[in-house]
Amino acid sequence: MRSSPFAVVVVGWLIPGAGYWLLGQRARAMVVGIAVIVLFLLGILIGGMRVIDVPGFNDHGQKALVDRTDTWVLYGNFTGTIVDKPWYVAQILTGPVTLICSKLSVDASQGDNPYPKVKARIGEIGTLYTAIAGMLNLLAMIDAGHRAQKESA
Amino acid sequence: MHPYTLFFTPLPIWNYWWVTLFPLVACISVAYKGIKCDSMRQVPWQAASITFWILISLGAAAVALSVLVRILEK
Repeated sequence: MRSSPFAVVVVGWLIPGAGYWLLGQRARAMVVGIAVIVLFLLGILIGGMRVIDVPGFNDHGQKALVDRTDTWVLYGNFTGTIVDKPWYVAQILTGPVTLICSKLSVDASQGDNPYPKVKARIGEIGTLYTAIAGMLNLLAMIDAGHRAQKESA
Repeated sequence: MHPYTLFFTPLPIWNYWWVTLFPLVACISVAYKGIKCDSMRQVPWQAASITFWILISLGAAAVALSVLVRILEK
């Protein structure tokens, strides 16, 4: 069964490397998927969970940009919130694992004794690791989609 | 202050941050060659080769920049 390029790209985002798996290239799927996930997890390990700096939340895990009724108004300055934290765009490309870590990061920044956001070199390295993992997964998604397109042509 | 908690507090390698360069380069090389190579048998050797050359290049660039800074300081 041939997979559509769109399905291959979406599956590649959901599980890093899984786009290749759909194309029957299981060894490539394992190698690329494991490399991306290991890179992402090493980033979290090195810099701590708070290297996932979620747009729309401040340093204390509270919603930024709320109106008088405490309703989120991200749509009012959506681009601004992304521009403030551009590395999140790269991190989210790693897949739903980033969404899970985003929730953990926001939770870790709340409460009376929150986990601190590390702004030293170690924090930057952690952010770099996670962002590069996302960029490599984007490369894998594009390549798998391209291979699927060639197969279906 | 939190005690060390895996994945939540940063790894206490403040003075050894440069060690993190090695797994970063290795993972990038494996993922890149995993995508690029036609045969997966080529990946281990090609990834090891590119890892070596990236590290050598980074070292050379660091030495060159260090020399340049010292020259500019004089």
